Amino acid sequence: MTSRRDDLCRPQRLHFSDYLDGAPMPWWRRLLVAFHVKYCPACRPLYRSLEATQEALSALHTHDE
Amino acid sequence: MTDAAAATPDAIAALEPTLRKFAFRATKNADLAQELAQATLASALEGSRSFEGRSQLRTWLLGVLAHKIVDHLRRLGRDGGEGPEDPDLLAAPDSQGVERVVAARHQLQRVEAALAQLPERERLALLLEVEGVSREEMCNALGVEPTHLRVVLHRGRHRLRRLLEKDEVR
Repeated sequence: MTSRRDDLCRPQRLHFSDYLDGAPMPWWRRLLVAFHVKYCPACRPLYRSLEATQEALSALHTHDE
Repeated sequence: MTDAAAATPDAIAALEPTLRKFAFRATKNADLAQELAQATLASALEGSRSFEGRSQLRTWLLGVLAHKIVDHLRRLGRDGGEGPEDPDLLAAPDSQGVERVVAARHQLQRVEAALAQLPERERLALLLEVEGVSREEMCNALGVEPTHLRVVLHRGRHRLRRLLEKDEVR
């Protein structure tokens, strides 16, 4: 059984990766996701965690010798 | 945009170390990485006219290499697939989660080890993205449609995030 929080958050979380990438999305969706990552107490750390993961990944960029 | 004339034999050969390093990260097999990098160089030198200069030579070569990696996996009977949808992928981290992931930023080896645990297609997609390969080139290399690529990247990132947070790196 999912909690009410899960019902509210899950649809937004599905778009976190695209939002992080700046991928094209409808303006209203971008607004919803932006609001959610800023104000949701559960999703704010998740989004920051995703940002940190992406930053950690960027350290793998291969520098040409 | 890059001039197609940039695809000289010397310029292509100079990227061999980059290709070998990328192939090793994708396959975790040094001999195979060497073999795939060499095969990519050979293909590129033979087919350098097909480089139209719409992207950097580097990202073009990485796309060719990724295509060969996927072909290799298919020959092994592995389709270079990705992991299943998993509701826990989207679960919020615990209170220490963010701090752990921030620590991982400075621990390249932990990230590489976690990446090695990802399903192959997800690992390959994330590695290509890190190298600045365009979405179009990634789709061509992985043999997927753009919408599917978004799913692969989404799952790969979240799976990697969970691995780093749980410190399940073996």
